[in-house]
Amino acid sequence: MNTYLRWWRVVVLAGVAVNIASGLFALLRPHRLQSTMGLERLEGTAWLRLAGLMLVDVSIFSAVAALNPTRWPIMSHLISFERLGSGLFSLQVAAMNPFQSSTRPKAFLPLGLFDTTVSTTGIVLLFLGLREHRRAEAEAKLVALHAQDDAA
Amino acid sequence: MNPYLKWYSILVWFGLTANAIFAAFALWSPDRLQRAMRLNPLIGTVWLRNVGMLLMNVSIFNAGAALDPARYPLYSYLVSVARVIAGLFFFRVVFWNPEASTHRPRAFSPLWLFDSLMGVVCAVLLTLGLRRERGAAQRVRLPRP
Repeated sequence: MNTYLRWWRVVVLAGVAVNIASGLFALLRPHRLQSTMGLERLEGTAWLRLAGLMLVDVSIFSAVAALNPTRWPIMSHLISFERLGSGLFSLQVAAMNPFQSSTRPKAFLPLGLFDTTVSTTGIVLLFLGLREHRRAEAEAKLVALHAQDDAA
Repeated sequence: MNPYLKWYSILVWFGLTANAIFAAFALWSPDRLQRAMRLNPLIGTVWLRNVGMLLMNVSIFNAGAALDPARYPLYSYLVSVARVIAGLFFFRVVFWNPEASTHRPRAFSPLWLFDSLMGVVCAVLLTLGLRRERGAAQRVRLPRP
């Protein structure tokens, strides 16, 4: 695995750790999460707790794909793009508050900034890493072909 | 792909479509979804919309497993495990309503039944399918008499 892909994995796994921590916080301590974010107390916590569970799910899927980024490159790209989607979602809430998302939309700005930064970094690292990987593979094939020719 | 894996794939696509429909309503028509589930209107819709967005992401990951279940078995098992865990989550909401989840816990019964059933059936089909796949691979490797 080349340096870009190794760094991509570090970035993805760091993001996964943060996601799992916040997912479990939402799942197990929804009222405390609301007060930490400066949001008002919820009447029902089901959706916040479900969001926490889904975050843990997505993180596990991401961690598995991150173990070997070259095995299934499309999945590796999806990891970064799904985080970009989450980031844009939070930024949209912070900037436009669609569907009366929150009484304090600015509380979602740090989440949006974190997710978009991590995902953009991941997309760049993965793109460079996979390009390098393909180049190394092509060179190895060429060397093998030359070796076969020499042997013949 | 053997018949077990084919059925696994069909069921994952079916579940994925159901998820995507739910997610689309949660994301773009949260109040209508609340009304359909006979739940009180929300003061802030952000968490329901967040569920929708995350469900879309999970659906995309599930599509990978549905396309080629035998390619990355751990991944394909995760699809079933995630569904069973979601089923357990809804089961707790329906019967225990922890952390004051909702004022109408029974509204989550269909979600509990659907996720639990899909998770178990998919796990069984995947186990049988992968076992048959391994068996076929071994038979190919056996030396001919």
